[in-house]
Amino acid sequence: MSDEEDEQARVRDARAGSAAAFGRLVQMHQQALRAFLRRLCGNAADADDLAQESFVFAWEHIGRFDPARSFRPWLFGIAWRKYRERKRSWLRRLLRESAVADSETSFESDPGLKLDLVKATESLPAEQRAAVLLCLGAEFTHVEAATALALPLGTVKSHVARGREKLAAMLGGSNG
Amino acid sequence: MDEPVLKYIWQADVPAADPRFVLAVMARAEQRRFRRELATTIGLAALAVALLALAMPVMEFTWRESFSPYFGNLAILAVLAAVTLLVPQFLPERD
Repeated sequence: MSDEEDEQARVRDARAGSAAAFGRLVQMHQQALRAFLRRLCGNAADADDLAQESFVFAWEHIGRFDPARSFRPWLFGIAWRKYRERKRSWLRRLLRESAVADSETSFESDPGLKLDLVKATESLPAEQRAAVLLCLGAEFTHVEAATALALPLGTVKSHVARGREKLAAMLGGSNG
Repeated sequence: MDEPVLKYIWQADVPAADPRFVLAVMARAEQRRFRRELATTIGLAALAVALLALAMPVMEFTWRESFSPYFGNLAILAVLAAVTLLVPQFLPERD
């Protein structure tokens, strides 16, 4: 059984109410989703909390998911919306407290290329960063990323191309 | 830039298999379901109590004025009706 067929079977079982099948889906997608959110949030604890929220939301609303479609873009779409909601509430809180705070958390312990890549990634605008992370980091097709981010396909392609160029320029590597 | 390398670096700090994370997700989902069901039960109970409190004076008045004097007769009527309905169930069927 291929991964895709396995996933479809798990989704079917989860829609029928199987918590074990949904647990397996969590196991299958947790690494990519948490990595995606960590690069978006810049903070592992907040990212894992958002990832849990996203999975719980997916479990509660799996009845609305169309099993003919791919599960991954739907799940990452939930995570992207949760991230934007959370970011808005962070900004509101910051404004309320009138605090001048740097919302970007640093990865002091990460050395070398990883640190450079993380910093370069964090410097991209949020939508562009999300598109780059999905297409280059989580093996999404442009169509899947467009579905997840609720953006036009052309915009996603442009975000990925520009993001890739910026990363290459910042890291001093060749493009491609 | 090599995409597998990017993917590796971006995902390096998250384990490929993390049973604790899966458990945390399922526990959070279960907690939320429990809280929702508890809130629903409490809400329905409060609604029932409120409706009963509103309807009780009318019910009490109706009972006192209309049915209370005939309680004995009503009770006999209910027993007779029950017997009439139940006895045929215990009789053998005829061909």
